[in-house]
Amino acid sequence: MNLFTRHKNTPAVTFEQVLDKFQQPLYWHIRRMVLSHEDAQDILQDTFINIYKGLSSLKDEAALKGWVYRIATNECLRHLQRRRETALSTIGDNESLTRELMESAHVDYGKEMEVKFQQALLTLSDNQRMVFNLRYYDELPYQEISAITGSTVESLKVTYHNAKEKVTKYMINN
Amino acid sequence: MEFDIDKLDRSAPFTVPEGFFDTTKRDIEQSIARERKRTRRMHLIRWSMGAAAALAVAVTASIALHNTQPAVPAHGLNELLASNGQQVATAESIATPQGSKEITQATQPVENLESYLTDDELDECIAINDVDEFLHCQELLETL
Repeated sequence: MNLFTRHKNTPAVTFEQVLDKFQQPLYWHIRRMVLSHEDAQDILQDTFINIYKGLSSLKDEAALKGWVYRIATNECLRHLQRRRETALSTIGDNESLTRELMESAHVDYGKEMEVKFQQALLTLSDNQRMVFNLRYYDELPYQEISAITGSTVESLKVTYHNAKEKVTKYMINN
Repeated sequence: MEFDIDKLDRSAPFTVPEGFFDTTKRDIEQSIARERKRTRRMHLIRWSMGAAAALAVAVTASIALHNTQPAVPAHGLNELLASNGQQVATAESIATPQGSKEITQATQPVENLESYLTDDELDECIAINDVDEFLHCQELLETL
């Protein structure tokens, strides 16, 4: 039986189309948040399982992008929260993520500036980092980020501005 | 020092294993197949538990209902006794003094006893009656 026939009644969108269109953007979005390739792979699978479960209830195709990004973002934040809860109390908030970044088999350490930039991003809170990534890397308009995060456009602008300032400061000082 | 992050190349230093995205779709497909199987199994378990619970309730209710019913219904008892020529004492019949008619009705089965007994059985009854000290206690008292 074809796995994707269940959602054939959803207007103009099937699970297969969603998978083809969003698997790479979602993977990179997740990867930038959790840094580890293995974790990103697991979270991507969970994200698509949730998309599969909820796709039949999604009637507005225009909301699809925001919806799939929101699912992925929530999965990432949940993962980071869990990771923090299980980490030793002596390890700082993003220390384990920094270690992940510096000891991964799937990071190109030849790109020194980019690695340094990722280290700078780890000085941000999860929420700041998420907003920054969605705006800076995915180049999403604030309206779309607002649909994903549920925050107002004004508050997102402030968050992005503060994050940018903090990252710039880190890059100058290091 | 001048530094503008907007002038940086917006690429991350992350890499993926060779052919990762080619196999991702298959992996996700397998995950969903597993999830569907798990969901179906959960539905089956829930349905079975629901059916078992409903059956248990039905059996319990049936037993409870059976235990609360009288062994012989009141009207059934009256009919049973009436068929044997007996009367059931009711609150009214106890409170109201019985008339001669009722007494006659009550002794009627004893009178009819003769027609049911053989001669030998009647002789035996008379013999028992003759030697019964309690029945003849008045006569004994008079002789004393």
